[in-house]
Amino acid sequence: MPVTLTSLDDVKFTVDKEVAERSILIKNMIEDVGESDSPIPLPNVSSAVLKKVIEYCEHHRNDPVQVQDETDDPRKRSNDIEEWDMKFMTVDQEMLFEIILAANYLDIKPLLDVGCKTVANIIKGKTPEEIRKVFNIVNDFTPEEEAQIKKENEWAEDR
Amino acid sequence: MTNPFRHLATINCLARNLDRATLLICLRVCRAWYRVLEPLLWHDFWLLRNHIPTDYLIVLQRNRHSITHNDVRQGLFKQALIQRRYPSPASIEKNAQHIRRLFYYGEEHLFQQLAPFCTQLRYLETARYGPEMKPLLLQNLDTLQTFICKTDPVKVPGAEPVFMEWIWKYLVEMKDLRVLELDSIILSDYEGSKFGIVCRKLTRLSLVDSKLIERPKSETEDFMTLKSLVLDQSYIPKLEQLELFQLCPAMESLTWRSRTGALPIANFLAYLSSDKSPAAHLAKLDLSTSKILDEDFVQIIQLLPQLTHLQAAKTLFGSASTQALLQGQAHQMQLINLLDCPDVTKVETQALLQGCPSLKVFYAPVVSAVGMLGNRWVCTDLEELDVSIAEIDQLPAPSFPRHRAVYSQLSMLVHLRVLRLGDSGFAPMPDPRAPVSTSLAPQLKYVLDMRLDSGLGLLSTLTQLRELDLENMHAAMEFGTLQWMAQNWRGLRLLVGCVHPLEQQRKLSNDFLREFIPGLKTFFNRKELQMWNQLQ
Repeated sequence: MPVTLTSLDDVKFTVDKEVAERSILIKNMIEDVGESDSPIPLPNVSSAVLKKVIEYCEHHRNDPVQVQDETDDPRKRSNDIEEWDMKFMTVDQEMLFEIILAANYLDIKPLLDVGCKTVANIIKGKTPEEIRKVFNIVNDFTPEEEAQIKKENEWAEDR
Repeated sequence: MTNPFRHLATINCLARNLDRATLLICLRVCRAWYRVLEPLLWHDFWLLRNHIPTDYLIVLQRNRHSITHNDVRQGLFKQALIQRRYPSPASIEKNAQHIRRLFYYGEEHLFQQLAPFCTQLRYLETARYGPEMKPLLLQNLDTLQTFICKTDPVKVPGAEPVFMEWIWKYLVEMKDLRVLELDSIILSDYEGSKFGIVCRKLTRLSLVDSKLIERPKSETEDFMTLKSLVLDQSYIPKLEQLELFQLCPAMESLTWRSRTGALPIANFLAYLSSDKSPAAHLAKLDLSTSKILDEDFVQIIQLLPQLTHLQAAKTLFGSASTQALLQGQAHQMQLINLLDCPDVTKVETQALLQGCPSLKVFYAPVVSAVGMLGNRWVCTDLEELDVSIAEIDQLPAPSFPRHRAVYSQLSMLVHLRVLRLGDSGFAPMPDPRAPVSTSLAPQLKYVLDMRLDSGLGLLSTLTQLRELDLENMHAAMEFGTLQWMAQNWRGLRLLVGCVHPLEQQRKLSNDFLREFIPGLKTFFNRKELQMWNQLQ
């Protein structure tokens, strides 16, 4: 059964229910409303981003539902990104950030995860100042505070 | 530009994907990130071993080049090489409450400092059993989900099991306990009821080299949630082990091994045929090292229609079992381990590689190079392959490149992450670091030639390769081959074996590879790798 999604800029997208329900937000909305032809409004997601999100959900429509909890062994967690996802995430930084925001809003954990892995790979090896530039963050530490934090947490490099 | 990392959920998701070194850097980005990320730094906390035996120190020294700040697990190895650093008492008091997973192997003085503040543990893994553990368990009864007790393989390999009488009352009280793993532990259940109470809440129970004494002979209620059961050289009488199976109707994964290899197969088959059989769910079976005959394996396979993972290393699995698997579960098998099975020949291996399209992991003693002609393997989604390639000398000649048939087949496995090529089919040199003697040189025609000229270049398709094991392959890689590896296998993280027979050349080659493949670790042989892994 198809479902219609309406973006922030009023563009309508018709997708299979199975694809739309990769978003837990949408899944819950469908369950709450019941059978209906009314479009589902997504006022926080622009059409350009929604198009990308739908593309992701279509590709991953048959993936098993991920069950992740905090007790996942980090030693077993893979930081690798599959080839299709890597190509999918080869976008400009603004789009990458918008996809992450959309994944968070729509509650699509695998997409949020792959978006964050992509960002993690970008900032790996960078200094704090370089990371601030990536995210357009203002440094609100004094140099002394920054040095103190570094010294206080040196032990963590060893364990 | 919108910053997605102002929301807690996205910052947490980002943090889960950061290595330790980058997480430490991110603490200093801004105050908001510091507030959110500092607790995450403490989620996993290791209390390191108090000493490292000399053998392991040698391995550490040899691999010190590959210890980087970017690998939190490597922090374990720094304990032997640099002075240890500790968090301040104020930091411990502030942050120990954030520890969710605690690995306790030593440093009792640090344990004493942080234990009073650890109240939200979800996972505890320990090789220490002193009275200091009791208050920690008491204050985490409501949160602990995983409890692992084992002896330290580094400190006391082959030590006698540890007797723990006092642990039961805590295990019973842990209302969220789901995973219990005991290794070399003796527990007694004098009241005869605690074992059942604990098991009825578990999803996974593992008893390795462990003993339960005074356990009641019969339980009245099934262990409905237990899905994964490991009985590996445990001291429970074998028929009682079968009674235990019957209490687990939802079992999906079973590992069953005995000290002698003997298992009561007739009773096991009767159980699999009974009303209490888990055949509807049992998908993963590990009977490695068991003295199970080929014909018994046939019956087991026929009774488990949901089977997808079969570990049968060092058993008598043979041609009849292979046929049973191909007739029943070929389309669904994802893992098959038949290493060191004397009756598994190249015929069986070839049949499985040509008959099981869903295989992700395949370990077998030997495959024929001639059988690799024509790229007839259907398991193109393979991620791990461990097999020796024999009959190299029987490939049609002349052929250019020389071993094209072999490399062409391997190149189809584009998802391969682990490639272990086993041994070369003849006895290894007494000293793997000795140069190739002229008397051995003629035998090299039986060995896969690991050079570009011979077709290795076809393996540029293996872009996901993480581990390459060449032990006993007698490789003699030239500089061009090493450059090719650095260019095409940039994700390689583990190289086992020697890329050159001459020690000096080997050292230079490994240094080159480590410089141009970031994160690569190299080990002379699997024994060294095993020692390294035991320190993890």
